[in-house]
Amino acid sequence: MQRLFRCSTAFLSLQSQTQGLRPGLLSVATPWLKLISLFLLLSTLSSPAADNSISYQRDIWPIFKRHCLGCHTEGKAKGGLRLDDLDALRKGGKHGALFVAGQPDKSLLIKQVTGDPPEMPENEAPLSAAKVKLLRDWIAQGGKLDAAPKSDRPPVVIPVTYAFAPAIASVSLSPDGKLAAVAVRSEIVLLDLANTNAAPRRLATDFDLLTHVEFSPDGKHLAAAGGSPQQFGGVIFFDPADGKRQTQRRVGKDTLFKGNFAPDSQTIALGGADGAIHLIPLDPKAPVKSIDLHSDWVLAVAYTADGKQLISGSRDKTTKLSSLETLKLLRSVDQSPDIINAVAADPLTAIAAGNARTLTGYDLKLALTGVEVGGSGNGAQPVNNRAQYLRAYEAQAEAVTALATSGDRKLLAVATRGPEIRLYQTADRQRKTVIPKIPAPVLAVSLNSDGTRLLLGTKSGDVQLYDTTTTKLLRTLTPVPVQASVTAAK
Amino acid sequence: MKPIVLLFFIVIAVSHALAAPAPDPITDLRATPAAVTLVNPQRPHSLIVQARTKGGYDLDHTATASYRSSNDKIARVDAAGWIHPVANGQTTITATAADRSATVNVTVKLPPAPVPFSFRQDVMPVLSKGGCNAGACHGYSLGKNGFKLSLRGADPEKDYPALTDEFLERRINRHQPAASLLLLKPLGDIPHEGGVRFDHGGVLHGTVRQWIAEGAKDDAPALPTLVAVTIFPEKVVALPRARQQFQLVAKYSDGTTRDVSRTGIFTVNTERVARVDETGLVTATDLGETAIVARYEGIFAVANLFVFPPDKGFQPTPVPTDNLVDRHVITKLNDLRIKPSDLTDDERFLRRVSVDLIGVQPKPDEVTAFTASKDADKRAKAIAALMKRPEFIDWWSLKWGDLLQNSRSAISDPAVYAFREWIRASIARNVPLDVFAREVLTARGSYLDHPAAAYFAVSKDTDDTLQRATQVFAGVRMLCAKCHPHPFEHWTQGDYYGVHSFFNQVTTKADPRLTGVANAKTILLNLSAVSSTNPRTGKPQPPRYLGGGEPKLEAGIDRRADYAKWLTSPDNPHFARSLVNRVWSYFFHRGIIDPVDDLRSTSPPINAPLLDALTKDFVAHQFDLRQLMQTIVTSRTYQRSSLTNDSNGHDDANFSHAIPRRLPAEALLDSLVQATGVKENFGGAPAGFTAAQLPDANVQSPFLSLFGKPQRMEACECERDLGANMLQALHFINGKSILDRVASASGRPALLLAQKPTDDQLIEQLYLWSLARRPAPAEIAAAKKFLATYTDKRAEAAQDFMWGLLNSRDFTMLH
Repeated sequence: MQRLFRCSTAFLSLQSQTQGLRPGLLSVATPWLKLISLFLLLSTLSSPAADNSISYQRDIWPIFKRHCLGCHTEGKAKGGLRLDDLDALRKGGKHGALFVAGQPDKSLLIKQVTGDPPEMPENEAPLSAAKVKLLRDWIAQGGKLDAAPKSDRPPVVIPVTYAFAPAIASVSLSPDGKLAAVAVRSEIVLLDLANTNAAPRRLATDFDLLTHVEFSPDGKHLAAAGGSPQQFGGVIFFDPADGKRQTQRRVGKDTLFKGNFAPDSQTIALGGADGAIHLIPLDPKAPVKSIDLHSDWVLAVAYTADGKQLISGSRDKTTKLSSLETLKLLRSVDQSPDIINAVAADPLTAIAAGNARTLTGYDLKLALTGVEVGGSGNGAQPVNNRAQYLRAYEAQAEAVTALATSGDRKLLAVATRGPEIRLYQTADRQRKTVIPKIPAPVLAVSLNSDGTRLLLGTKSGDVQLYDTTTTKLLRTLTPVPVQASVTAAK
Repeated sequence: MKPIVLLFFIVIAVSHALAAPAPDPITDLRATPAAVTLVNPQRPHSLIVQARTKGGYDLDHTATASYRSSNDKIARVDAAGWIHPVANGQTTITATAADRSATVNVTVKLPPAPVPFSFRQDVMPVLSKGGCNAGACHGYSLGKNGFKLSLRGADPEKDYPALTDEFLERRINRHQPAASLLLLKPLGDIPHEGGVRFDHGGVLHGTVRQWIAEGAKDDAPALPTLVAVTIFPEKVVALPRARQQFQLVAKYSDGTTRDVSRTGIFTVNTERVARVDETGLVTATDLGETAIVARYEGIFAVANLFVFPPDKGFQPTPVPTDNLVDRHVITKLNDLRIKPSDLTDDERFLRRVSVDLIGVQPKPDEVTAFTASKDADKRAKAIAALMKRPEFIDWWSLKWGDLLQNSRSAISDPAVYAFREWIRASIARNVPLDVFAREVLTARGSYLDHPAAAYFAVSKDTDDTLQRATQVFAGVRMLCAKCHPHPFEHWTQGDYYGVHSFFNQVTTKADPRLTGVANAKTILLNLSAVSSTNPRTGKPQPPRYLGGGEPKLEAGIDRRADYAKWLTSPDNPHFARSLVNRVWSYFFHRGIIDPVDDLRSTSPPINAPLLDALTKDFVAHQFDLRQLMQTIVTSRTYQRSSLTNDSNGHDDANFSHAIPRRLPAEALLDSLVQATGVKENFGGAPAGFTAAQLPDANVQSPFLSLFGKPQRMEACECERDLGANMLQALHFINGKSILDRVASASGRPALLLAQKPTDDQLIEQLYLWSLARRPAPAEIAAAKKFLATYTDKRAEAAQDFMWGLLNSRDFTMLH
């Protein structure tokens, strides 16, 4: 009651100011007219004047964004509450609706942010009185959700000319060895290796970071995977012949990581930030399948030669085998002291490597013999001893960043943070040859079908093609233009 | 309505008139720095504009002054007083406030090429200021959500790849800086569990964005390093509710300086007195004083804020010259406009000094003899006499037994008793503390060879020894620095393992000569032991003195001897100072620095000249413990009453009056035993031992545990609990310790009644035995009335009356 009275006096003073400014109106206004206008003003108090009305988008969303969104957002949704989505916001959390329209004192939101000390925001300073008042007034006015919050995330912009040589995150050689595809931050660049005069074909995406690019084994598709960190993940399929998009899919809330095309060229398996392997089919109508098996980001996935199993390596430091038939974990084959960055498969073994500087093979048949899967997920308990199926390669001098096998899986290329690429024969795990003097660190490597050509991409933006039999540098490629002064300085 | 408004104005006018302090004219206006050279276009410099009043107050005009540059083309100045370099040359900035002005000479020397942002000098401080690398966030040892930074930015070499390289550069986008996760997250544009850490368009945001736009480059190896951080003003005398802006300036190894006020982290040590916001603006909230601590890239700078009431004609106390304690305490109190309390009376003085020096209150005959004496020097003589009492040895041996953790939990029975005897002999002979410390720190063998070797036998390992030795003999806590840079001091893992290397030759073996004796250990030295490994670098860390240099030591010597020699040298910054401060705390409610065994630059002394003078005097008297105690307890400062006056009631730190303290467990029990005449039998100690004589805490005494006798498991002074709690009160009211004693047939009431005393005699004797003082006339009257209610049950009356006295705070507290 008191509040209403104060409001009305405020309106009165406003009224008299307006009158002062408009003498013409004053002259016709008689005392009883004034009384009527006052009455009208008072009667409109229950529905607030435009000046005082609180906008969700303008006034409330910034408060949520600053103080609440860290926990009450998709993926986290503490207390079952999400504030980043209008429908979810209307629904409230597991303690009920967030507010009762028109009744701030009965609203959970107000109860949570007031009190001594307030429950929310957790572990932080209480909201200022002004912010609490805004929330109260918004609810008092009906708690209308006038418009969805505006995004402050900048759209992806691809520079025509790069100011800094961009890191090459992923490379792929087409099976026939004629085309090269490289992932350069937000774009894929297709390079015609047969025709040295052809200009690189730049395929723009709306992903902030592309993490994986790969030609399908049949050469008919080019997959580009990645996403925007902490926003979304996805994959885009291109036709390598003309660079046109075939299909695209978005998966999850963070970038996808590295993966592998299935031998039948119909599906790509990619690691996810949610600890799952995502099997994304070319067919846009077919569902995406997932195998949830790691406790942290899955950084690399590879198909076994027979296409029946998957090898995955993760930031959780484990290497795991899973079945495509059951979409379940078969076994955790190893726990490394450090992150696993890359996995591969030859006909008999799974291979994994990472920051621990070890390159390790696991005999698939032995590793999967007699494993009893108890429980689910990580409950798979190995029966036989790790030493029995371990097939170690020589130790690596630096952290391993990428692995590649030739199409026939006889040759394994190992890229590290050091200035060389080592090539191994998978049959006996012996080193075959070394390509020296490479601009380190190498982030990506690819071999063609017969293993005679090797393509690599480095952090400093170099893309190079080698002949693996002679270890000769065949070509240095420039996928995107870079400002001259910067390249010169480099 | 009208009368109310009128009343309102009257109230305002009156309160204004009342609040208006006596005119205190401004004598001086200064802008700091007086001259500045700006060498980087990205690095403006702030000004602090301060006025000084005749009454000695500092008034901050930084926010209210107006600023003008004599040449905007050289340097411009904004409304907040920040100077921005524009082009090379010289100009003058004039700050005007309170009808006065002050000038600052500005030299701009910009390099010909633009200066890019530096990872270490610009970005790392932002990560600290934003709290990104705090222990609860990405500085946690496992990182947060897969993103790990070094704790408080200790390791830029590791943080650089974490930001710019990990996971295919996912955290930054050099080609489109605004899309960088490193910006979107702290801005809150993408949900961030750590909350919003950067404001859009603020300094933190701008710095990181620009650094990414410039390519997120690493620094050249030749980058100048941070060598010092200074805070200004270093000392401020403010009125309540005053505001003061602080300025933080970093100095680099190439001699350049830079204003880092916006990226420094400010905290207030005593939050009752003031609060500080993130820009270094301090608001004084209450009378008193506090340190303002600023941290910048692992270096600390400390300023002192004094909040005094408006001057109402304070008359300073004449500063005494005959006692160095009083000299410095009174000087400080005059600064604070505080009058000290009067000296306490003879009875309270004698009880206080007896408990503090010998751990038990005086007996009635001592009290009566002392009060009857007309000797002008009787207090000094009483002090000297107390120091010759055998209980003095008991009491201070107990203290050292606590500090050196002599305990049967860790070592054999005979070793504990031998070490106890060794300590007692040292106290009895008043062995200088430097000699004492050297003996302890270099002892070897078993108790058969050197009882002090027990000190090492108590340690679990070298880490334990290092932490105990630094905490007890230097007052420094090193544990944090074992795993990461110390959060409140500049100790690094290099410092930690440097001291470690002095003690890592020590090995503990079962003593082969003492087979069958449980826990019999002998201390051996592996003289060929190499330096300890610093886990951060993975390299050996040669012996390094605490906060000092690395000596060249011959191979195969006992390195402890070198450390002990360094530690106990007269000019060592830790040893004498920490012990003086610790000893002081045994006679007052706090140390001059408090807590006494956590000394660091961020916890400044309440009275630095006092601590310095006492330390100097202690060293000049060859580390003579008794002489130090005598200096303290003969001072008027020690002997002040706990009753306050108009000016010192709020003072709880500057020793302007005594602050009541609870008697330590052993003193309380021994005084109770003496008062009632009924001994305590301790299971696990020889019969007849007093509480102060006990060999360790492994005795059965619920009373002592209840009143906080330390278990000697830690080197921390905090292990002794001097607090009060409900269980203690219940034990006094209902427990056997008092009830059984006063009711005992051989207890004090029975003994007194056997002499058939009058009521007056009985009451006086009970007061003297219980509280070591005579009753006041009002107390006698009340007591008589109380006794009368028991009619002929005189024994019960006397018992109940004594029970009441012992349950009063007069008994449990020193006051």
